Amino acid sequence: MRLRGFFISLVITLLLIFALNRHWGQIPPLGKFFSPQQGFWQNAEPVNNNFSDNIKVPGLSQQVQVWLDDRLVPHIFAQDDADAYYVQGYITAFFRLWQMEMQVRAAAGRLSEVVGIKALPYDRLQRRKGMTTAAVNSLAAMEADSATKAMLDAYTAGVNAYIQGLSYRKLPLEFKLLDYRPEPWDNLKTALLLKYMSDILTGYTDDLTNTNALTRFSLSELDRLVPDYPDSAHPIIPPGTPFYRPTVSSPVPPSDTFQAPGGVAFRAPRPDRDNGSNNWVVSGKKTQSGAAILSNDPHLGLNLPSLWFEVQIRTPAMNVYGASLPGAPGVIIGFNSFITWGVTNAERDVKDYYDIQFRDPSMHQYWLDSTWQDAALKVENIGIRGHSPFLDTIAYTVFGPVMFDPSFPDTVSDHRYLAVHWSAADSTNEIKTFYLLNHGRNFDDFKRALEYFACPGQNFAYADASGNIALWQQGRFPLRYKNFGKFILPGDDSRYQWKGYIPFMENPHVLDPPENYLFSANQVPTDTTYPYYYFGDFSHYRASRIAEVLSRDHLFTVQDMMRLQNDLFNPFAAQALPLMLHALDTAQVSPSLFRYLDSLRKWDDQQVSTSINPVLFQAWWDSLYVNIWEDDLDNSQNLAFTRPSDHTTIAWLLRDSTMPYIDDRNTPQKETLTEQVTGAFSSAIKAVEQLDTANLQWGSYRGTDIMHLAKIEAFSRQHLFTGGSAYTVNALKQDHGPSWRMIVQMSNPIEAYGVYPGGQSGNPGSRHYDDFIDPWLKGKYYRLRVLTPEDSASRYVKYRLNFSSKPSDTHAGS
Amino acid sequence: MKGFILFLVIGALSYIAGWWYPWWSIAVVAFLITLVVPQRPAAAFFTAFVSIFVFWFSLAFFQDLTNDHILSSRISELFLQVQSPLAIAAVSGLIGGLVAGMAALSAAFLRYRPKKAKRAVSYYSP
Repeated sequence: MRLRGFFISLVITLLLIFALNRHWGQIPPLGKFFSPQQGFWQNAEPVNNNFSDNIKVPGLSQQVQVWLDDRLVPHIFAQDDADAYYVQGYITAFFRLWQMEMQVRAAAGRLSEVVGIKALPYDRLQRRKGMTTAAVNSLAAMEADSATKAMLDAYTAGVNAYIQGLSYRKLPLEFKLLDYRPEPWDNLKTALLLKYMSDILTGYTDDLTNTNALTRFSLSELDRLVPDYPDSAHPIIPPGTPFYRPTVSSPVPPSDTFQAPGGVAFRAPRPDRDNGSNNWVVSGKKTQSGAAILSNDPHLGLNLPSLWFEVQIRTPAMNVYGASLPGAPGVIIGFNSFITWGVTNAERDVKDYYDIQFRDPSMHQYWLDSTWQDAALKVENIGIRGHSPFLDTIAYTVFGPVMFDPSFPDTVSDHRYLAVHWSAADSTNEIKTFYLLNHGRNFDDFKRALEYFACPGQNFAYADASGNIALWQQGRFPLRYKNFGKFILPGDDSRYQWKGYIPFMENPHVLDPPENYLFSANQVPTDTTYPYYYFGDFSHYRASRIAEVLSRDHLFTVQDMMRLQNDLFNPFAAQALPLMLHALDTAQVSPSLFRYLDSLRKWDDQQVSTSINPVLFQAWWDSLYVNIWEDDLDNSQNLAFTRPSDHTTIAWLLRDSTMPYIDDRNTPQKETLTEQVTGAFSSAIKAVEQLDTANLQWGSYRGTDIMHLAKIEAFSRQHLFTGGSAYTVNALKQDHGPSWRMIVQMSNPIEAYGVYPGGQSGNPGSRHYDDFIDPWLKGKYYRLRVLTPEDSASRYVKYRLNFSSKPSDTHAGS
Repeated sequence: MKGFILFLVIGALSYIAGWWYPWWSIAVVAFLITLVVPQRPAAAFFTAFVSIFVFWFSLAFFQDLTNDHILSSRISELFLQVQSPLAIAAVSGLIGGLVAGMAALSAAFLRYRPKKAKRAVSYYSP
């Protein structure tokens, strides 16, 4: 009897230990995870944690000092660049290792290994874009250059030195929660991280929806719905700036009849089309201090941990401060003692699709130039936690990988094979650009740096201590003729391949313009005198507002720039609302809604969080947009058409209040603008009335969520009470917005300010995880402190990490 | 008194073991201690359970205090849908206590011999 009791309880004990020692679906190994000495309790960082330490690592040539300030910004002091990048790798991993790993997994399409089968469609998409091939290509270029190879090697070694020291207890929280260990880092992972950024910034394209639209609209109709050159009085390069005479001639189209390849039902997710940003530079002639000021706020998806990580790196060859990307060495947006730079997205189309004709579903051969070409078939092995791996066969053609085939995605239309050609797949060394910018001292250095930059196309703003300002739209942009690449291209004719690029010096750029200021907010880069054809997904309204403010006869201060970065004036509302109010037939409006109408009439177009007017305007406009366009864009085959922008819509209505699309083609009568506007008002505002039970405000109606990278709500900051929209300079949206705000005045000494919505620590258990969010919400900035070795006793230095080389074993004894 | 001493010993040895060995070393400690100092099964379970429950709970809570409850609030929100540092510390204690208790129970069954009260009866039989 005793023995029976023993065996039963022993078995239960062992089963318990077994069950609590492994993960079950999403549930972590509970025994390990809840253990106070090993599990998540070890990640509960004391609020007055002392980060100071002496760290011995292999591979350093000399001692390196790192001082952490009270915001945990590391100030790295090294005797040479290699040591500096090594320690940058170590310290970035120390704070953000899980994020680095996760982003690289996402880039490489390896999320399913950790997250399970729900990530399989995403992983397949990433593989089919050719992300890893692109990274391998760029890595070859990066390693062929001795400076960037040394940079990558050192950074990788630093990251690995940190990883090697990690016992289970010291693992970042998410590794414990998701139950896996970090892999060793390598240079390819850095290359993948850079491609991840390229994807975010150039992955968006309308080629497929444009092609779908051609099944309903003619080319000239589509040209009016989605114009190449939207009305814009504020191109990046000031009108009147002369351009170089083109040294390369643009290709001519193979034939003058355009074949519409037919529609595709396109289901794959696209990057946010508002992945754009603002930057502007003002020369000393227009500033209070007499020194040039640069401002930059990149608009990206907002997550925790933040995309950016502040750092200062000082060696004999450089002294740079700014925002870095965890996973890549160097500083991406920042300043040194001589120059400062910032970037916005150029929005030029550098991604095209080709319609491939395969001989049979095996995809071994495709028709090209009247013969059968062999395709290279690659089998992607996608590991899936809790499942057997998924094998995905991807065909590679001369154009690029066949991203869509009958096995992916599920198409409603006839089977299509689409190959993608993407600038990011080229063998280019963008990290060299940042290396040279970090070390740069003048405009020539800036130019030399930009020459290496291919993808993603960016508008580089520049200012220096001598007072020069510049803006340069840089990327490798393919030579195009009208409409080339706007639609799916024939994949059976090599004449439709890209035929070369716009030469570096002929990309739009300007130095020290007579206006004394320059700005880019993803608007069209040039006026129509630019000799090369281009198209892209350009914005309008933020640029118009920035132009309005900077063109004033005023000597600007850093505080003016802060105000402008946080500006909530909505130029779109200013343009659209008067027309809407004028067209409204108040006799048809129910009296219960009059108070809302009054409110709108008094609105000052400020998209503030505390007002109901942004809610009213947005609801009304959205309803009007639907009234105008839905009937024309709806189709029985469920194809997605490119949607005309708000700007195109309002500009058209202002020009012609009887434009044909106002009419609802599904009704026998011909609707007028007044009828549509009034109908929209009634339905939209009635819906708002239902919601307005207690002081409805924009900040709660829309708000902002900053989600953890693994979408864990408990690690996120949700329902932030924010203002703004895609059209305000302070371009806040629901999960997207200014991911870094920086203002740098190149005075002596340099005065710099910055903030991002997150914190330096990636540990949800740290008080430094999200401590910048509240200041960022309020439009506040931190002073960015550039420390020198003489600042050792400064009150800004809170913790000191001394890195020294671990003595090697061969030194022991003789 | 014996129970209280065992309670302390199991807790202390588990703490020491916990720095070098995996979390389930609490089971090994509870098992071995109960082998060496046998108790009735119910008492063995109870002593080990309470010992590890208190020990894990206290360690967790101490860590939690220095952290200003930042992480425990998040973790409890994740698992329990409410932000309660106490609750999530209690969950830790429960998990550890249960495992240690079961281990002690096994050892108790193996070692414990009930007192032979029946012998008195057979003494008088012819």
